[in-house]
Amino acid sequence: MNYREFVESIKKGQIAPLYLFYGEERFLLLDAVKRLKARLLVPEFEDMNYIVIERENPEEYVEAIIENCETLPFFSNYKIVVVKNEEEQLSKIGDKELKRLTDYFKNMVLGNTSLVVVVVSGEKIDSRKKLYKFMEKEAAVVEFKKLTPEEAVNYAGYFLKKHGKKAAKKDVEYLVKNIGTDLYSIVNELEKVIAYSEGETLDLEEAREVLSVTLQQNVFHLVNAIGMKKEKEAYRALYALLSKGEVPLIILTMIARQIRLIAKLKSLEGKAFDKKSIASYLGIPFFAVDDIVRQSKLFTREDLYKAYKECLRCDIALKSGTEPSFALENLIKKLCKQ
Amino acid sequence: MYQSLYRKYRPKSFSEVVGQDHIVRTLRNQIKMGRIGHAYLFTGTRGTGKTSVAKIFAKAVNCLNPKDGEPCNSCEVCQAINTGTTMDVLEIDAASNNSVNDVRELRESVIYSPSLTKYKVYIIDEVHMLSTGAFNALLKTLEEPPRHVIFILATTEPEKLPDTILSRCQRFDFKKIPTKQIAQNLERICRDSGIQIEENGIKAIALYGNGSMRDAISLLEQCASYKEGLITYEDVCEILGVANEEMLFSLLDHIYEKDAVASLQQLDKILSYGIDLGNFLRSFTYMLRDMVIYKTGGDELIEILYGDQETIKAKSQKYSIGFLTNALEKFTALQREIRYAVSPVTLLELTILRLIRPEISYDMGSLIARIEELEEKINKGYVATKEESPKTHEKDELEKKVNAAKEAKEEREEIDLGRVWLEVKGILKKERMMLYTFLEKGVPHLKDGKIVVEYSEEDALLVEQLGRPENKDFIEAVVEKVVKKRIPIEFALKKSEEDLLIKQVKEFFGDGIDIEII
Repeated sequence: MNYREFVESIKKGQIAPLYLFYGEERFLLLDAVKRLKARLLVPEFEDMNYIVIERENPEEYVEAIIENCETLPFFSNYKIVVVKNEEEQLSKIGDKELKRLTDYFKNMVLGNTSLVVVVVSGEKIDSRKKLYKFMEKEAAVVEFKKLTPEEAVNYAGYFLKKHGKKAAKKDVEYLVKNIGTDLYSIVNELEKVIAYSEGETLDLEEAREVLSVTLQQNVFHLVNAIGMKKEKEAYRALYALLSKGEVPLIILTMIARQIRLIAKLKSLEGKAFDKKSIASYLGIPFFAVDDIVRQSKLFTREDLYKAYKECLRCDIALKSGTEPSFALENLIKKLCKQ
Repeated sequence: MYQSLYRKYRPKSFSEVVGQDHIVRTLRNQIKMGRIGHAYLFTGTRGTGKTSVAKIFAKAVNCLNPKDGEPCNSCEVCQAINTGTTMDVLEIDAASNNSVNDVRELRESVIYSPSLTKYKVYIIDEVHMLSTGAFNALLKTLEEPPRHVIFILATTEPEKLPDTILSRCQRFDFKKIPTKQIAQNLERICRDSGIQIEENGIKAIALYGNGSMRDAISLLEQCASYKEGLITYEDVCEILGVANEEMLFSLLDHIYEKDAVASLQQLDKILSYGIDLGNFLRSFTYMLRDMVIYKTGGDELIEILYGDQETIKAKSQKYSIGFLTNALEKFTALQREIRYAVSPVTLLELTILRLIRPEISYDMGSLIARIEELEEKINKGYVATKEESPKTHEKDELEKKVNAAKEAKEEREEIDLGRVWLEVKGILKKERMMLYTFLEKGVPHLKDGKIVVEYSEEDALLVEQLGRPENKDFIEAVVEKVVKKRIPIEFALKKSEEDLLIKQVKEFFGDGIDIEII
């Protein structure tokens, strides 16, 4: 099951007595728990009927689970027991205890119409483990996968709309591209944007004031900016990298690598090659080929020769004690000006 | 009890917070709209107001009669928070409580409802100091905190936090406070507490605070305790022990105007304040770098400047990009060289002179700067018209050339070095065989009326031997005999760093490789 199927199923009232939740998208995972709560519990007695089990010592787990499952719901039709297993505590218990747990689940929980047990695991599960073998057979397993960019854009758009902000699709796409597809980050960033902008529509310029995550913190962003000879963009990317604490020599290595890739591609010029063999020749992923092809058009052979020399010069400068930011900025200037 | 200025003037409401408008606006709106998050992360360099805003926020969410998102500062709750008597707003220093157990303790206390206030606010300062285990424990609380709890994490180093924590919080980046706003605030404080200080002095302090209000106010306090009565700009510079930016800019001005005398005087003045040369160079290069960046990118790149944006913006209008880049390159190189220099100041002065007189440096940067200057002249219409001076000028030039040629000829006529050298060697061969063999290896030149004999690196020993007074005198005597005139002789190494480098590399890797120096 995925998140959507899970939501559909509880809407239809198909409640399983035993759930296993896991996956990278923790925001949705938590949301699923909340939905269960909202569907099954009476708000006034929520605290009495919602029990979270988490113990330092794995050995105490089974006892605690059984103990809590034994009690009856309090002024409510249902009771939810959440077993926290993010650090795989349940895998650390002995075989005998585990058997006791699975037996209990099998005999007492499955078929119980007033109890829902949710085991919350980490981002991945190891399906060879006994517990998971059992769960896969008997429980409703819901995986919360990372969203695709399209889904994230949809969600972000929906979130903005829900809070009374109109937004153009391309603006939302821009936001998601910058923030990433993690829903926690998206929601937190959008919360700020919503509170900051007082207008009705989303204004990107305004949003930038409060956004924290930037695409520019990525070294690939820097080398691509250099490859495309976008000087300003490159400076900004460099600044972001350096202030994030990236090692200057690594940055230089990445820049030199980019120049080398462009030069290698240059050497193929005039020969018929398809994308796939270019990718394997350069040793880069298939989808990165287009970028390099585009960039190679901006550099002549002569340029590349000089670029190599500039990289070398920058290397010497870095290793002989020049201020790293100056050395790298100088290199960017030289590479982009050609 | 004496309370330090910094604590006395800590902002107590959002409107008093300086330089963080984007954050203040967002937080106030959140309070007004009732959209309060349960985990916040405040990041930014020291003295930008993280903890202050956190405290104000704690008051604002709990205040009994908030107005427009502001705390009233007079109700029971606000006062309890101001005086720190309530247990519902907790300030925790993560640097000293960084273990898992500390966080577990915190988690246990989280579940109890606040006693006086609506929300229990935990302000965790320096949160990057937590251990990995502590972070994991904290993460679980951040994921699903009780409704009455707000976490505010504050840190100067957000990159040290795990991604999981980062993504769970609403992150606010506190910016460096613009110098202008710091200065305004300092002025207010001075007025309020009766400190008399020159306006320039305030500016210098604000600049030196470098975006940090706390630093600036502490410095102001330091200055205020330095002397009674009016504190002058000079006093401030002396106390701070810095080359203030004004001085640096005026040095740059002099260089730009090609006023060598004034430049050197200004440099001397700067150094006379007892400023460390390295510090001076660093501030100078950063200043140049900022202007180069601003010239390249304009407002688009304004946020990546290190210095004060307004100053850079205003000052960089004056200079041409060629000049700035050239100067930056020269000074960056100087920064590197100066570590090995016997007399750093001389090297610094030399660099300044080279910038002023590009004629004496031949690298690309200087040439470009010269061309740019020419272009500018042409653009402004400063083209020397052909009629006026050029003719006489040309004449002069011609005359000079003729003279120079004559002189050169005379010199050549004076001694025919090749012939003389043969003769000298002939004599030496008979009288001092050893000196003859030594001379054999060198190449003689005439230079400024001297004979300079150059040797390659391998023959350094010979130069040493020949340079001894007894040998040198002997050879000079022989030369005198031949040309009937005393000509001084010098023995020198062919100075070439490249040869030296190539030699070192060859020694290391062995012969048989081609080495090219770039």
